[in-house]
Amino acid sequence: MSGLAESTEQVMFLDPAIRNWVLFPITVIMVLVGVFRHQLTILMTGEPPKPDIRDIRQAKALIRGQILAQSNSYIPLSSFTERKKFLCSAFEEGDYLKNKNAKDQSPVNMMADPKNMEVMMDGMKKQMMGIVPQTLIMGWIQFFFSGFILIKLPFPLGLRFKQMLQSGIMTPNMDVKWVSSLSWYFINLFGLRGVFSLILGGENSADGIRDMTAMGSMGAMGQQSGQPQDYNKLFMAMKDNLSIVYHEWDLANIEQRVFVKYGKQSRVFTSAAK
Amino acid sequence: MADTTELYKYFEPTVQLNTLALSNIHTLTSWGVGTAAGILGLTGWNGFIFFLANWAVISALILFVKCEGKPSVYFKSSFMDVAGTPLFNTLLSYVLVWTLMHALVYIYD
Repeated sequence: MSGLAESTEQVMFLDPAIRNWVLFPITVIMVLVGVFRHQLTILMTGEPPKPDIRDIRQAKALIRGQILAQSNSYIPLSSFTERKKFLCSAFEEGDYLKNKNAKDQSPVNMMADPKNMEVMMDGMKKQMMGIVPQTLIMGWIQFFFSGFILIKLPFPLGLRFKQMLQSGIMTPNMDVKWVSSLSWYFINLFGLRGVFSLILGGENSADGIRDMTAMGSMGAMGQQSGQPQDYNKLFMAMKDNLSIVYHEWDLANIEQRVFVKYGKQSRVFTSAAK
Repeated sequence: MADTTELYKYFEPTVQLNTLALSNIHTLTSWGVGTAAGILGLTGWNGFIFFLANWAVISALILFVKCEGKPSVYFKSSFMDVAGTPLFNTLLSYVLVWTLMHALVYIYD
């Protein structure tokens, strides 16, 4: 397998015992662990905490302001002005705030709120459910199935991958296509997502890749979600927003527009007063 | 005047159902195509060209037979949703099955 024969395919045959005892078991175990993880996640996810009505009212009041700003073209100017005045004064007074008296205090520390602790613990548990099986399976494969060639990839890869994919085997001349069991683990990891979505339906927790990406973003996200929303500031911002909205009623001068459309009038005469 | 009608144009549960059905189609066909590629003994670039050719045929079938030529009725971003986005995931499934079948037929005694 050197010199002139370098350009030909390296043809090898492998013992079928490898196929029976390594290839199939790895795939089967990965599928089963995925299903197991999915069911366990369903069991472990507790009831989401029931939100306080004042919390909901805060959020909905803000949304009401947004809808008014967005849909201003559907209502005539008088209605719009009425609503705008009502909402702005309510925001100013802090009518919708959870703690009207605590309006000027700085936001409460997130950690002290017992409800939020449960939510965060749930999130952490989910992360654990994702990471631990992956690590376990990888360790198991490294321990039991290392030091031999498992399979040949039908497609070529660069030489850099040789070290990663043929980890236990010290043969400098063997094609990169011949790989060890760890690479079969990776191929399965990527390829079984389709199978999981067939077996477990659309939203399933058996996805290995989503956990890997979640691990990466976990550090960044933990910092941001600790800040509670300061609704007072949000309300003030919405109030400013509403006061600068330019109102234009869709049905303004509609009678004249209809005439112009059917040719009975040459153009729309707008008056100064709407 | 209203880009809020854009928001209300699609009924969300039905869109999700359609997307799920589409993904099931893609998974099953990728298993079939991967088996064919493995058994045929395709290697290297031939395998990927085979995948892309089949992908084109299957996408055309989905668009013209199932969607009756009007994909925007069934999916939000029509063409890209049907043929562009699922490409990578299906490719990964295809590689798994292709490798498996190729090994079973040609590598093991």
